Amino acid sequence: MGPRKNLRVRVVVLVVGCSLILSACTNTRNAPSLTNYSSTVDYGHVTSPSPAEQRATLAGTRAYRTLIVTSAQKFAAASSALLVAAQRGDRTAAKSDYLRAQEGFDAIRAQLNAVTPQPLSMDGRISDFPHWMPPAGLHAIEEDLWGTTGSRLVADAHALASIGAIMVFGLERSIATPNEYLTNAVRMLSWCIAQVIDDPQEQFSHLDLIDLTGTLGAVSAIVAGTVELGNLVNPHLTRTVVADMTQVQVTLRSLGNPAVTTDSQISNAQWRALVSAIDTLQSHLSELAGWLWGFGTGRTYA
Amino acid sequence: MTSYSEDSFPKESHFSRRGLLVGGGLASIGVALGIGTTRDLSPDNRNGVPPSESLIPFFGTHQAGIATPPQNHLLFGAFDVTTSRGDDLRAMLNAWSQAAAAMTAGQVVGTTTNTYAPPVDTGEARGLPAAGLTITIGYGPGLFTKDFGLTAPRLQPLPNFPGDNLTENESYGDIAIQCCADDPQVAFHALHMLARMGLGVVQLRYSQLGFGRTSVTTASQDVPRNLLGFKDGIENLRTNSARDYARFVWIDPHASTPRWQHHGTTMVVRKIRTHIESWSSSSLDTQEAVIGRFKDSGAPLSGSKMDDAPDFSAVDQYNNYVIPSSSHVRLASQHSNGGMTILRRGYGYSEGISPQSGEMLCGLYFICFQKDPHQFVTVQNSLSLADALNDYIEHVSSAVFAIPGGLAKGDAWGDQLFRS
Repeated sequence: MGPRKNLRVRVVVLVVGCSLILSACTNTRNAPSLTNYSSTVDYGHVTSPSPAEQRATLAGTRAYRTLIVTSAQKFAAASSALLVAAQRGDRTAAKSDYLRAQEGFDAIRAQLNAVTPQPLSMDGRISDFPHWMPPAGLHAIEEDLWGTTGSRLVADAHALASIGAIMVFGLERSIATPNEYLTNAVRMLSWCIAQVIDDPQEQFSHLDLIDLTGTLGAVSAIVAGTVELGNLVNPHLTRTVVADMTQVQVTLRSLGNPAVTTDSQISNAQWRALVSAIDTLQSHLSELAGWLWGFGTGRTYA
Repeated sequence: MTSYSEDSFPKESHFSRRGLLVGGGLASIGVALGIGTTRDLSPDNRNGVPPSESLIPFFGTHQAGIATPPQNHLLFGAFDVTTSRGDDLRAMLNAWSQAAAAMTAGQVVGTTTNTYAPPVDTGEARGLPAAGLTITIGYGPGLFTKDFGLTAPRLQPLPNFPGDNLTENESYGDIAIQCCADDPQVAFHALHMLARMGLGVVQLRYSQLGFGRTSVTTASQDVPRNLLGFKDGIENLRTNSARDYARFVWIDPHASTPRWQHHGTTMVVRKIRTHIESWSSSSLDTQEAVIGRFKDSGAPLSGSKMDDAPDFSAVDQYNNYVIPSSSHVRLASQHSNGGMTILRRGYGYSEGISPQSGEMLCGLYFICFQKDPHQFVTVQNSLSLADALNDYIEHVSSAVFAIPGGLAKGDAWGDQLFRS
């Protein structure tokens, strides 16, 4: 690896690493205070949480943490495998590893963004990079594998694999209240429409279903982890959200295998059906997030 | 190819559009009655709103439509020059400015004497008042690469910013025409007329209808709300700060730019689509943190009243900035951009739904004026990298134009451009 490639790896690792460590260190400071428990909020259900609500809150918080940590580990493992495949020149395996890494990253994107602006060098599309910044991250690898920049693959994969380990370290310290992780889920749904369906992420592989599968799979896990608390606070709305989520997943699966179905194979009517399902879910999920405001202390083991 | 006789377009039109309405059918056969009438007819109540009677002078040191208090409607058009003959372009621009002078005065364009030919004025604004119409012209960088012998301004195409998702056929252009009015039909008529007059010399590259101004330029105008539901333009430059206009907007008459640009400025146009469904499903807390202001009052998160200056150093009990570091207000402020600022004059837009997603295609048709486009580039560099609002918006078109200074009476756009 030449000195320029080394420099790129170091810069990317430094930027992402600093962001994650900083976010881990500041998380406690950002956490809502215990006084939130007795705050009066519009939805007014948390002035005195019952033991059952406290247990459900804790279960939801742990489920979210598990989702984030396992997704970060998936990303890290796939990134490492990608580097190995790139080093031995196995592009088929590298493509498969890339898709797994992308899917893992999509599950943690909102949590990363919640604590620190996500650097372009992580998942920025090639067209998003200003002219003075060399492309790096997942989509640089996508271009290496499906585009015309194959000679950069090992260097780009090396940078990504270096980030993976640091990311797990930072995200293991992630904490979020039910309102916070549902708000993240709402943002993930926005991202699906604005940054994937309307403005594709995968500009070289055209496999945008991977991003949708990763993101909506994570949202589904978040919803599942919230059901217990939601049923105690607003059972009707929670049932609606669960039904909406099911509809989204059914619609998504009907589009095809995400590893091989390209964007052009999906009709406008199919896209619109998915968007409609996501919009409906998002509207109800954001309402549920409002109902759950005030639960949780922001400490992992509240 | 159309050839232009400037005599076709009177230096000062004789016909009031309202006068022609009084003249009724006679006007359609070219017999003009009601010349110069100032008779006040009953208001046009097509939309239940009394029409604006205001006339904005076309001639002056600066072009109208820049510092002018923003009207309620916009029709923006960008043209590609298709002729290779400078004389044709010059004649067309001269004719355009004469027509623009007439239309902004609430008058019809030209006279129609031959009923076997199409009328000179297309007619859709007959009976309507001037409605505060302003017509502002600008020239894109591409115009000066053509072989017309024009002196080029210092104007580079804008760089690509992170997140740009530009549509080629809605971006760029050789000539810009910004029509603003309090009646959308008056604005439409203005662009329609100029496009028609330009046939064979220019062709319309794209146009955009805008509604609901998103800025103020005077203290007397109410601060409007944009499609995000937030008050917009609170920190905009005001016309009572002549020093700020001289510093940030108007090009100095001694500047080393072509003479036609003296007392002019530059214009940046960006079509910014808003993913309004996602935005509307975001919590109020999120929306306010993204913008950096309270939605109801418009006050900065560090204050309590709309006019309170944002305190960017204020921190909460956890030592976090009260106005978040990724908030739109912070990143767009002079504070974050080395004292740089711009004059904003944008409008909301809505134009059907996305064929891909079925979501509303709407957002902000952002227009700003500044002495040097670098001012905009500085602000946009801040925003494009870190603005929390980027999760909900995307820039889908982009253009930059050099804006000439205003015309003295008797002068014309073509002569102004070609004699420099």
